[in-house]
Amino acid sequence: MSDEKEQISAQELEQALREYVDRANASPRARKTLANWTCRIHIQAVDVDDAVFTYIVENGLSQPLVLGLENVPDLIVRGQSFDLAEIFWGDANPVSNYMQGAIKTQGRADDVMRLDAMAMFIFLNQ
Amino acid sequence: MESTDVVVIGGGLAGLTATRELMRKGISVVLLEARDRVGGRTHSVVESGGTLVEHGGQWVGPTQDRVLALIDELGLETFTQYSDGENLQYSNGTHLRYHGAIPTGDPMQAADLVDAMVELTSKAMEIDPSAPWNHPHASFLDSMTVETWIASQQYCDGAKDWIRTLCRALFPAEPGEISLLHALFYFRSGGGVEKMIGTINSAQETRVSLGAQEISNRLAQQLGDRLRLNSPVVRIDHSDSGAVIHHEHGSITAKRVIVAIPLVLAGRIRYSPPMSGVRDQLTQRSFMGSVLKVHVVYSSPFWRESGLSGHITSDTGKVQITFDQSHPDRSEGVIVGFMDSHLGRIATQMSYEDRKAEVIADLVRLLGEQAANPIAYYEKAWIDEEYSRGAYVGMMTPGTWSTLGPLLREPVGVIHWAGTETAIIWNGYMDGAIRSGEDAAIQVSSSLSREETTK
Repeated sequence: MSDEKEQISAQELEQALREYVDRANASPRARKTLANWTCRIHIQAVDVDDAVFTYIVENGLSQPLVLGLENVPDLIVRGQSFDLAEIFWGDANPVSNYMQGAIKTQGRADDVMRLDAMAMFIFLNQ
Repeated sequence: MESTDVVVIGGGLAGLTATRELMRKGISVVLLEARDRVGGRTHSVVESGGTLVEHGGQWVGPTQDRVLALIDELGLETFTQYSDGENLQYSNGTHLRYHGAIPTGDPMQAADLVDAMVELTSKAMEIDPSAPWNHPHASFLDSMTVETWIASQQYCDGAKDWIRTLCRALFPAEPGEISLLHALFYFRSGGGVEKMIGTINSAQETRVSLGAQEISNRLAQQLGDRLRLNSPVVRIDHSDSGAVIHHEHGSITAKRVIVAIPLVLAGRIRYSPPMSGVRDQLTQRSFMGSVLKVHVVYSSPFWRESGLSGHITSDTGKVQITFDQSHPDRSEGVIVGFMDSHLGRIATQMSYEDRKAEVIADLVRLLGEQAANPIAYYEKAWIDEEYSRGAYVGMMTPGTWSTLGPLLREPVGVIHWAGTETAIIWNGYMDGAIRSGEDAAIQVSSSLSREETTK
């Protein structure tokens, strides 16, 4: 299914992620629920060269996006560029059956749950 | 009198695994099963029309490494649970469609549910699943029920009701029956709530093509005459030097015993000398979930035509959870429905005809008039099963884990314990049962080796 989807460039993905950082910090629900969460996340689009990013959350606040993979991550997120972009644009339900299969996440269950929660709050405009 | 190194009691996945592991180590072993079949709480039947009916446990998913490895080793084929299309939430008389594990029809409610899942998963990850009683707030968490926790939260009523439905579906028990500490232990054991409630990349992802019971059937084939069916154990006489296991057709002496049945049933065996008071208090406080599982068969999976996955949660009726149970090799459409917890208990007291009519009425409400004319209907009330007395799993009442928990896996003399209720990982699941059987076999073989060395 993903193979038929358009490829998103590293630059577009970066822009989507930067907007995602802003939306996460503007989400009252995410700020409240994830207030004590600190996590370093490596994000990798498997179909695009150089589309690798480090997303850092400190006490619930998303930090400016880092290009490349920096330090040891708590979570690793991998997927096709289009699927990742759909999540970062807030267009796709991150816990849909499709996304649960398409996006591969490695890490502790509570970190994965919080990451999904952040994406869900953005998707739900909460 | 027949004599063996080890007697295993219970021919579910735990007992079968333990027996096979001991056999592989060259230890003589006899497996006593009360029923006329193996598989315990898995029970797969091919009905006369050819429909595979999974009366019991049926799903496996990622991180359930032991059961997945066993399925692979036994050469069993699997298929992915059908999950294309949208799920349905029936709430306050309204049909809301959504994708994934969390209903999103009402964004405020969905956000509350996400909040709840974060909260429960975070708390669960603080629990050591091998020793929940060691949590710094174990007594406090064990003093309240899941319902106490739900009621104390600020979530909207719809979210609270959905969490209650989730609780009934997962255990299945009323939120007011289960210790919060037990629920958190259970979530921790399964890798978090999200991993347990979803389909894809979750615990309901994969099914065994020939039915889940085929895992047990194939294990049983490897045991030869070590397996004795129709042999309910009634009494165990035990001492430091061994045990005599009395079943309905005879007695066997053994150096060690593995009791691989639910705690509540283990408590019904007569022991001589009797179990200590605290061990008996533990078995008194473990109770089995209540579920009546139904299969409703249609000429085709008609719900797929309207873009539905067949997975429904409902706040109304007796059937409040359904999945698409259709087999990929068959043309008929099958909905599997669960009457969980108290709804299941009520349903078992109805006549078969009334119950069937109510199930079909529920499906008509959820899926439309096309659901009114099934071609077949099958059901299984697990609480009526003499040798299970409930499903899917045994649970702890408040105050049990924190005070009696350390006794759960502690051998009593030559008697060892197994069964999914004793599992640390995927407790309550087939995977947990297998892990517990492997652990018990290691424990027993080590004990026997130590005894040999000291002779």
